[in-house]
Amino acid sequence: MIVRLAWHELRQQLGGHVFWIVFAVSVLMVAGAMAIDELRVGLSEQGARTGVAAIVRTHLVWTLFFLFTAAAFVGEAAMRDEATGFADLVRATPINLRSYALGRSLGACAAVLLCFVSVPAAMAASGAVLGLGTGSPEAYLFAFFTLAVPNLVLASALFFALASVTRSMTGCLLGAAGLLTLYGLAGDHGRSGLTLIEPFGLAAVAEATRGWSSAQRDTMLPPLGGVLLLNRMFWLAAVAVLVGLGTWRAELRAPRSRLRTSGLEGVGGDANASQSAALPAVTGRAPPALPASSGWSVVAIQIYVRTAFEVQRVIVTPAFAVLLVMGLAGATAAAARVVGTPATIAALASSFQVVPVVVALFFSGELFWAEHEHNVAPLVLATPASRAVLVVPKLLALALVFFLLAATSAGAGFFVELSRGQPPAPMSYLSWYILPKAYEWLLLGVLALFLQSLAPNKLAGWGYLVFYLIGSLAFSKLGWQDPHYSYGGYPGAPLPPSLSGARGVGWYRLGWGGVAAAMAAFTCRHGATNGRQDNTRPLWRRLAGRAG
Amino acid sequence: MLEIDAVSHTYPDGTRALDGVSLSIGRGLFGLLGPNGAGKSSLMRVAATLQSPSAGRLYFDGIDVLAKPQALRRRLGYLPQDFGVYPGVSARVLFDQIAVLKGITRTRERRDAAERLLRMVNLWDVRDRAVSTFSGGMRQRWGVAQALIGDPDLLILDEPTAGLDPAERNRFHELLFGLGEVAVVIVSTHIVDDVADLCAGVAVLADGRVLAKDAPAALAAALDGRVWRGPTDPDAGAATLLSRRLSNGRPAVRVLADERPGPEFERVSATLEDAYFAALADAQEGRR
Repeated sequence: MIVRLAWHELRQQLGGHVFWIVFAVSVLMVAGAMAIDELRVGLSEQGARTGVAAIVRTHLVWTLFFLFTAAAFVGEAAMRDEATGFADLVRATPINLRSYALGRSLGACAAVLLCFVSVPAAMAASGAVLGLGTGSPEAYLFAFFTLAVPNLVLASALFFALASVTRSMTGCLLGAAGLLTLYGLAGDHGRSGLTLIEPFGLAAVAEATRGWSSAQRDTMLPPLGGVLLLNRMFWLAAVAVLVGLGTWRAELRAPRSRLRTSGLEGVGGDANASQSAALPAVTGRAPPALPASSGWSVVAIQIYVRTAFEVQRVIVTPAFAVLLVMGLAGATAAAARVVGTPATIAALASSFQVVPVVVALFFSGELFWAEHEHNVAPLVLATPASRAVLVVPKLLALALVFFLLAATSAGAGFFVELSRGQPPAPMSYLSWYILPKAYEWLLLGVLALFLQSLAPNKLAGWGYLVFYLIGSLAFSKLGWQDPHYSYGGYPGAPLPPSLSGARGVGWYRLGWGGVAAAMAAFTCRHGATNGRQDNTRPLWRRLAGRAG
Repeated sequence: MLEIDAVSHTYPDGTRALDGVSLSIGRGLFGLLGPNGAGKSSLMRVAATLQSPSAGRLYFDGIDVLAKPQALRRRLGYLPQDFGVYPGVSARVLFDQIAVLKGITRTRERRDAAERLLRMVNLWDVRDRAVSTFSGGMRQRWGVAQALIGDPDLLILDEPTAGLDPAERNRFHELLFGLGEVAVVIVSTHIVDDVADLCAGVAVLADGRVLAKDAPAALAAALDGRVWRGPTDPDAGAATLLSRRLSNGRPAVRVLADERPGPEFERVSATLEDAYFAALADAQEGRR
C-alpha cells in the first residue's frame, strides 16, 4: 500500500508544472556554471570542471539549493489533502493514516531525487558540449548515491516531520530558510570541526580529502570510510528518527476546525431563546446603508480598514515571528562586532538582508492569493469595492511590515550601542537605515506582488521571484551591476549615500519608485482587464476579468 | 425589477451552462428550481455580476448590469453556494470587512449593522469566535447576515437553507418573507417545498434552459386533474412517470396522464413538485 501511494504521489508531482520548472532551472544553472566562471556559486575555482572534486562539490552544493525544492514537494504532499478538503474523505476510509502519510511523503521524496537527476545530467551534457569531457561515471554514481541521495532523503524527512508537527507549508519553508541561513552564517570555515554532525557532508568530504593535491582531488574518489561513513550513517539514523516522528504525528493530525468546533455546535441550540429577535429585515430596516461607495473618502477608509486587516494577517503569524527572530539574531551579532553608529548601520545593512527578501517572497504570495485560497472571493467580489481596494492594502501592508522590520533591526543596533555605553545617533538610524531600507525592501515587495499577479498560482509566483533573485545574482556576478538596469539599484548599494559617498542616489530611488508604481498600477488593474478564463488564475481575478 | 434577456453562457471547456435564459423578476421572492448542473448557480453568478455571460443582457431597475456592474453591486446582497473565510478571523471582524467593502465606512454604522444582523441570524453570542471554526449551519447563517448588509434591493441567495436545521430553516423563511416585501429576492434551491411555501414566482431550469416559469400555484394548477397516484409504475402508455418514492414503507408512484392509468390509481391534487418533474420529463422527452 505504501509503495502504491508513493507511486501515486510521484505521478502527481511529475504531472505538475513545479517539478519541470525546477528541473529546467537546475539544468540551466548547472550548465551555466559549467560554461561561465562567474556563475559558479559555492563551487571551487580550481581543478577540472568535470573532475571528481567538481562533481562531488556540485552535488553537495546543489543538495543545499534543493532544500526549498524538498520543502515544496514534501510540504505540498503532506498538506494537499487538507488544503483541498480531501482529507476528510481519506480519514473516512479504512486506510492506515500513518501509511498514507508515509506513502505520500516517500513519493514526494522520490520526486525530489528524480528532479535532482537534472544536476548530474546537465553537468555531464554541458561538459560534453564544451569539450571538457563528461566526467567519470564512478564519480557521478558516488556523488549521487553516497552524498546527494542521503542529503535529499534527510531534507525530505526533515520537512515531512516539520509538516506533520506544524501542519503547514510555512513550517517547511521556514525550516529550509533556517537551515540555509545557518549554512550561510557558518560558511566553509564554520563547518570545519563539525565533520560528524554537519548534516550535508560538506565538512566530512573536506576532512576525507584533506591534504590531497589538486590532481588527486580531480581523479580520486573520497574514501567511503572513516568520518565520511560515520557522517552518512549518523544522518541516516536521523532520517529514521525524523520519519518516525513525522509518521507518528501524522496519525494525530486532524482538521483544526474539528478540534476547535467542539462546544460551538450547541450554540445554535439557543435558537429558540432568541426566536423573538427581530426577524424580518423589513421590521428593522435601516436607512439605505450603501452610499455611493466610489467617493475618495470612502475608498480611503476602505483602504485603511483593509490595510489594518492585512497587516494583522502578516505580523500575527508564527512565520513572521520566526523570521524576525532569526534576522534580529544575525543583525545583533553583526552589530556587536563593530563600534559607532555609522559602522553599526553598515553592519546592519549587510547582515539584515535575508529576512526582508524571505518576507517579500513568502508574504506576497500569502497576501495576493488569500481570497482565492480561502474562497472568500465570491463574497468580496459581489461588493461594490473597486479592485484597487483589494490590492492596494496588500501593498501598504507589505510597506508597513518592511518599515517595522527596518525599525526593529535598527532597534537591535541601537540597543547594542546603548549596552556598550555608547550614545547612538537616532536620526542617523532613521535617515540612513530605517527609511531607505524600508523603501528598498518595498520595491522588492512590489515586484513580488507584481510577479504573483502574473503567475497562475502562488507556488509559481514564488518561483518567478526566486528565478529573478537567482538571475540577479548571476548577472551581478557577471559584472552587470549597473544601477541603471538593476531593479532597485543605486550607486554604493547596499550602503546609504552618507556612508558610501555615492551621489545621485535619490534620483535612482525615484526612478525605480516610478517603475514600482507602474508595476503596482498594473497589479491593481490586471485582474480587471485580463479576460483569460483559465482555471489556474486566482478566482477573484478570473471573476473580475469577466465581469469588469 | 430584474430583467434577464436571452442570457447564454458557455464555459471554456465547451459546457453550455446557460442557453437563452429570459426572465422578468419583480419585487418579491422568486425561486429557481432545477437538478444539479441545471445552470442555477451560473445564472446566479451572472446576475450577481461575478461572471459575464457569453451573450445576452441584464437590467436591474434600469441599470445595465453588464455595463455598470458596480452600480448593481451597490444594491446587491449575495450568498454564494460555496464560500470560504479567512482562517482565524472572528465573525464580527469578517462581517466588518465585508461591510466596509460594501461602502459602510462609519464605524458606528458597521457596529450597529453587525449587531442587528448577527442577532438576526442568532450568531451575536459567538461574534468573537473564528468563522472558520463554525459548523456548516452557523457558517451559512453568517453568510446570510453578510448578504443582508446595507439592506440590498436585490438579494441573490444560492442554496440559502443548505445546512440549516429545521428551526433555523423556519426562521430563515420568515426572514425571507419579510425581505420579499421590499426587495427582489432570488433563491435557488433543490428543496421544492421552500419555493412552494415562499415564492411568488418560480422558474424551472434544466440544461441551462428555462423549462417553465409562473407562480407555483399556477404551475401546479396547470396539471390539475391529470396527476394520479398509485402503488406501482403504470403500464406503458400515455402516462408520464413523475416520481416514485416510499411512503410508510410502501411504494407511491405519481404519474401524469389524461386518463386513469390503471384501476389502482387515484386522482390527486397536483403540487409544485409534480409540475417540476413534469417539466423535466417534458424536456427529457424533447431531447429524444
